Amino acid sequence: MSDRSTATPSDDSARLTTEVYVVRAAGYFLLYSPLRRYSALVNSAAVAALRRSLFEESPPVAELSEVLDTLRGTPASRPAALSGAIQPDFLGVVPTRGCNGNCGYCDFGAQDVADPTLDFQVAKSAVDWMCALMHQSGRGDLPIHFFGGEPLIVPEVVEVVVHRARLQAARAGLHPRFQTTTNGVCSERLAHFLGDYFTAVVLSLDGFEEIHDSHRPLKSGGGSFRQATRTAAIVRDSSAQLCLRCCVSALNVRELPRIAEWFARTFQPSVVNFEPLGSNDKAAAAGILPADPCEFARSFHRAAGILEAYGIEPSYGALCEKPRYASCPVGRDTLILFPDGQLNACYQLEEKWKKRGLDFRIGEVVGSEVSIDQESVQALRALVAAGNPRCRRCFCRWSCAGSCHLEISYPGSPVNYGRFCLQTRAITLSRLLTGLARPDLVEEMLGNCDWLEAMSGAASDLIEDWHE
Amino acid sequence: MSNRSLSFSSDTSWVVDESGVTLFKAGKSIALSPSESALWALLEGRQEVDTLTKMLRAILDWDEGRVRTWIDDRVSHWLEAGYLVMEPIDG
Repeated sequence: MSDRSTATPSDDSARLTTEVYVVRAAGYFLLYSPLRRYSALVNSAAVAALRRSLFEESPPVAELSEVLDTLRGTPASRPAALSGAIQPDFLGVVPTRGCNGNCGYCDFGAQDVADPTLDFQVAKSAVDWMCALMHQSGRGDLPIHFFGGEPLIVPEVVEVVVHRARLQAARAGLHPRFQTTTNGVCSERLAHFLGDYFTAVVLSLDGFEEIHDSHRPLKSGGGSFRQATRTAAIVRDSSAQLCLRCCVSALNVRELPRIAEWFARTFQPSVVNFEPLGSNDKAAAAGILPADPCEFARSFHRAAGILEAYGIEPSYGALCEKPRYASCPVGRDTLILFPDGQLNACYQLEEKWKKRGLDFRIGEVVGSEVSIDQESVQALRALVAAGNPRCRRCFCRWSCAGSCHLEISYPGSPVNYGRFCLQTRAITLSRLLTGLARPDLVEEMLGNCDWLEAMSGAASDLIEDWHE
Repeated sequence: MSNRSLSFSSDTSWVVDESGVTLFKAGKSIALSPSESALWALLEGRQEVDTLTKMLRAILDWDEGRVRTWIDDRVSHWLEAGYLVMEPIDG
């Protein structure tokens, strides 16, 4: 904090050293320091006194001295920046871009691309390389996540990866950990395979039958609800963790509490993830529109309360209790193996990054050779560490961490808070207030979202920028 | 395997854990090796020898001849031990 006295107003890095935020919460102010894992509700007089003590060296108010000591303390929870050789969070595997679904909102390119399948030998080489790296780096596990398309439409690739990884993990003394995203439209045998061999299964289920099938029809016609729920039940009864992922649009946003209750009673999942639909042309053409941000925040809050009463973790991608630099695979050194053998930091299509002027390519697998471009790894780390200008003064900076670097926080993205930011700020605030045992304030705030619009214009949440 | 197919014996059960597959039959249990565990798991989903061979070549990192010989050996052993049975295909 002593650096503050020599900082100039334009010296952004020095100005941000406090990492203490103030956010209006009904008639109070939330004082929040994510890097010190500290939050408190105070009045405006307390904020003003704290601000004076922190920045104008006025004597502390006796009642606030303990708070002041905490805020002046070293931010012990600052995440460590990655350095040196690549340290992948996990190995992602995309067996194919093809899919048996025809989701009304999918902009993942599954309908538009030819669907080559990942070669067994390329998959094996990537698994062996990852296993050796995990062993050398002293990690005790071998984490592999499958993405698509729909991975289970090419079960042979998934099975080769799983069995090769188990074999190699056993030789190296590592614990294999497999996770997959899936639409659950697969045979009973494959559903049992997931239950037997996977640590976690992230299954898309958008609610009750009518809404799910309107969101997620099959290419072959009809809806995917019956098969998805059958797979969910098989995974529920297995040793794998079931995570239900519900895409939220204007069609189902008001149903989230009912959906949460049904999920909890029927499937007893470990996690329920509610992710809001972003706007895209295909969804709009199908009449599937994004939910109102305030409506989403309100509905998420109520659904979260129901899930927690059952001991189930509610999840939203931009929420995280532990501070982090990145909430998406980009910036976490993650390697995603594409069907053509490319190793990339992002599982979205290459064409999409290029439109944003981004290059997420990190390496490739050719035959038995795995090559990593360390310069690309460093460039992505630097991109993520620099953060987005929009996020630098936002109290969600260390939890949302800019969210998706392709869709939300790409270079040149708007400097003002958009729809995604508004709902993230509302949800984060509601979670913090819930943690402070003030559900009454949450209800009051989410009951009328005029404040949310006002928040959108907030230039800064930092206490140094606070004005009474 | 023409006109006949392999099945898991009705009195054989198995569990999968991190270390592999363990078979249970007539009050006895036998822990399969990691490579045997992979073959056992793959047999449940398919019996086309070419596909099995291709998958196991990648999993075990063996050449084709060795994989084919090994599959024949293991399947014969499991048939003999009664873990697998050969059944005629209807029609």
